[in-house]
Amino acid sequence: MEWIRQIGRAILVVLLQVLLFNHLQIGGWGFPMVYVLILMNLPVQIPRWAEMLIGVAVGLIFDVWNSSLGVHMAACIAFSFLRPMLLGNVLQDLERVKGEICFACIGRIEYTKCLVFLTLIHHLMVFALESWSWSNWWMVLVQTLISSILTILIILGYEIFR
Amino acid sequence: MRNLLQFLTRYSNFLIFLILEVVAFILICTSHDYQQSAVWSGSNRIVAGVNTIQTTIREYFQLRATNETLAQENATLKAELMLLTNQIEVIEERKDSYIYSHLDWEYVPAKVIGLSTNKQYNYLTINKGRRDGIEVDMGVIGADGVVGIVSAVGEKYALVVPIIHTKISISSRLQSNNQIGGTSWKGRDYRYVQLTDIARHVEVHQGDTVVTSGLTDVFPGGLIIGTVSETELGLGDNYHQTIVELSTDYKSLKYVQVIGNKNSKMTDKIEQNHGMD
Repeated sequence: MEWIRQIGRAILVVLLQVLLFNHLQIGGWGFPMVYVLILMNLPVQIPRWAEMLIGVAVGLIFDVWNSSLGVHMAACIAFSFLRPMLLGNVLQDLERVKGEICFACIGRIEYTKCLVFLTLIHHLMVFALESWSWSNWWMVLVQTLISSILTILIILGYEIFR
Repeated sequence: MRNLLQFLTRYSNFLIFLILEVVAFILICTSHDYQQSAVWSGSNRIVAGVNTIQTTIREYFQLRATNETLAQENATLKAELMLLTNQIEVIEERKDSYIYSHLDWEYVPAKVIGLSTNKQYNYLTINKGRRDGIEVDMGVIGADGVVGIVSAVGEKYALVVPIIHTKISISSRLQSNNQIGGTSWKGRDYRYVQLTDIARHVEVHQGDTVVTSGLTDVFPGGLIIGTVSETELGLGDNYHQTIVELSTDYKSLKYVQVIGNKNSKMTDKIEQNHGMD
């Protein structure tokens, strides 16, 4: 039953992202990409290759939506590749965590650390690949920063009140 | 051999990661270089379907405002109709080929069902496609002025590149003195674009109207793009740095017309033949 709930939540997150968060924009300075929550909360036990394939699938959905084939995919693959390494680094007793990862079950500081790092990498890749040139690098950085702050605040808000 | 196998098992996750990233980068490169395939873009059926539902809901909440704009449009259209009926009589009297060349444009009305304004490469999706006669490179205009150019066509839907897309430039003309320039977007505020290639000696004033040049087959000449909101000329500059406020408000754009030149194939052919000589 657990996985049905997880898939249901993933679909809800996808819909919220395309129907609501894609349309939020702060004067052209970025928008939250809350869908990284799906990748962030995957169970620890999942094989790494499977995790990366899930990253491909999630990335492709948003690429088709935004007509930006490959951009979100590349960022999501990096997210899924780095997540287990980072979790192993931050948590010494990773084996005791069963099922999906959450704010309360792996520790607040540890969860926030992983989330901030992975979100920054993901958002930086999305905006850098989307602009595909060095000429407006400062804008890429500002967009990354503002969007990351929004994404992290929304995800932490959800995790606290879930 | 054994060493190689050991190496592969040890770094298998990293290799999978590298292979997947390479695939992603190949996808990015190909979709930048070529016309985007309709299957993998906003003109895809599922994406367009969900966007249609969303648009329907939003429309319901905007009924009152839409009603008002429609009534206003009706009034202006009636006024224009009266003027035009007058003009037809004049034209009928002297059948002059120049005037008739302006009547060679076909219009297909369409509805905007998907739209982004917050990216470097913005797109909008319309609910007309190949079966309605839409083709790649047709122009798209709205009630307030030029909107963009069709870039990919599906059976029922089409993808339009708007002026607010950093890779597009539209041949433009200053209405007051007929100077030709290019309108392009630098990627931030969806309400403003830049007009380039207006030489130093030309006078540009705030409030001047910028229209399409009519030099390409995509748009007829004289369609409004926007008005000059700021212009700057540094001491050593050869060209004006002009910022144009777009007349089209992309955020509230709902209905557009796709326009095609009936003679465009003929002109293409002539240009090709010319190029071969």
